[in-house]
Amino acid sequence: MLFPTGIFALFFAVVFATHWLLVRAAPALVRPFLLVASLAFYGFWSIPFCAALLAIGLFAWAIGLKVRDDENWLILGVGGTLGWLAYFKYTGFLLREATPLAVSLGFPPLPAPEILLPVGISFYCFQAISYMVDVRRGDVAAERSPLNVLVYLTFFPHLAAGPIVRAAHFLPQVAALPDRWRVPLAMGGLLILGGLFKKMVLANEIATGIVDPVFRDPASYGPFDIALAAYGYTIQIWCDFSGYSDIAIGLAALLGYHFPKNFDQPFRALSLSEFWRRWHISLSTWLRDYLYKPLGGSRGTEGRTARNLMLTMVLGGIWHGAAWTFVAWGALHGAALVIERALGLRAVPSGWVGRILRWAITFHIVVAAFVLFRAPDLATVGTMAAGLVDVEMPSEAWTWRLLAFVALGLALHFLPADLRQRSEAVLAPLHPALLGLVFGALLLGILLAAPEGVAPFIYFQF
Amino acid sequence: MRQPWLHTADTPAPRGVPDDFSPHSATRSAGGVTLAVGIALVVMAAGRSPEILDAAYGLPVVAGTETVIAVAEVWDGAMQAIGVPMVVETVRGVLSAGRG
Repeated sequence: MLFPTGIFALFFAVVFATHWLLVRAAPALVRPFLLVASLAFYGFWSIPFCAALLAIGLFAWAIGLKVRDDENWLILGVGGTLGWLAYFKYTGFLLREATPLAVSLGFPPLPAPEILLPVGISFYCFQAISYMVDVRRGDVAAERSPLNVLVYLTFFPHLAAGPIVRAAHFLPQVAALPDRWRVPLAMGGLLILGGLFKKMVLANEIATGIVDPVFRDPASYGPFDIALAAYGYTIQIWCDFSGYSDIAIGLAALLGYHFPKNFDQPFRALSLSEFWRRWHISLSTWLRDYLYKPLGGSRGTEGRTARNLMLTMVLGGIWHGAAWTFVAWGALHGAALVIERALGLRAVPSGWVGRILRWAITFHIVVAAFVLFRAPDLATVGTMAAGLVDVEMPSEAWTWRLLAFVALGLALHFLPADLRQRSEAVLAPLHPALLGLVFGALLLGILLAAPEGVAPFIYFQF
Repeated sequence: MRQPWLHTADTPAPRGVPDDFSPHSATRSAGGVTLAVGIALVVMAAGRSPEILDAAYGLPVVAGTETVIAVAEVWDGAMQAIGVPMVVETVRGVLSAGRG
């Protein structure tokens, strides 16, 4: 079930009304209801995968009961969860990559099973690990009943593509009832509308207008088309993923639950390290706290810090999927972070020329890395790079509208950081009925401005 | 509780992570929010009445399908009568200008 569809609007309306009714009339049923609603949401994709999701939840809960006493349980829990994730995500890739070696050694070709990837598996596995590690560290108490852990893992706003909410952040909210007198309507509504605008209008149009055709067959396009596709994908993936995150945060808020922010105007960053403090914050902080710091972080020598950075970024790339393009994406970011650290470039330059230069360098490293991220294989990246300097090839795919959409996506990063809070202050005094009318009209406007059809969110494939 | 819009929040937000919400975020009662959500959905349904009718026609034939179709037809007829689809199409035409 996709957020920007009529069926989801109907689903959410029913869940929303029932949830608040239960908060008032039958508080004991709030958590069971949220679990059932979330499984119904996930069941739209696949009912067997609901069973898999529940199995991981029960596994994490059971490990949580033991993990405080003995670290070996944590090793089993994290290893088991990562093994589960690896089976679905990497089995096919590893067998395909190993086949040439097997054949050269005289073995028959290895089987290449088509394993269907459950939606959101990378996200709920990381959250399961978060629960077990947080319990081990003492950041959160082990849950005696599996219900709270299952609600934490399955809660439908973040189930399919995050944000990756920490157990220590969310479980206390599950344990307590939301306050039915304090629902953040204006901010929740603004987040949902903003997210829908970014996804439905900007991301969908940029994807169908220039990115998808160019990445499918870059040899047929001229340099300007290829450049616009590269910039366009950078804007598209931000609009798509931050749009999804904003909708998820807004939906959760309307149900009385809080998710932390996941994107903070990432393309205004003046360094790669700043970029990673603004981009997919829930993943980058997860990798920092559960991988980079346990590896030693920046506490050792410069060489060890560089190794830790490279490992973290390459593993972060592999988390996205089993392909060399993701490895290259992570390696490029890791190398850039190492170089930035070695050259002492993490500090913000004082003059405006220096700031613009640093912004341009950072932004173009990010754009180049996203070409690797989006390309189906490394050969496509080579074709695009060659096409960028092929001035003989005419550029006929771009339009002023697409150019304006890409520019608008970038310009949104340079609006005041507190614009949403200011808009909230304007809307907050309005009567709820008037607010509903305003939100309804804006929602309709977004649907009318969007291209026909709804493309799945990019991060659903991870 | 970790919701920043509740003044009773007893634990701070994750270290150094920016947030959309704060203790100053405006809040409403669940009843008021239900009213707003309901009206927003009615406005959306008004503008999408032809699509709703198409979706109703595409439903599998089970008990209640005829009622759903009848309601969708009445709703779409009412919207047609007051000219909503015409306005919607005009707005759509303006917003899609320049699309390749």
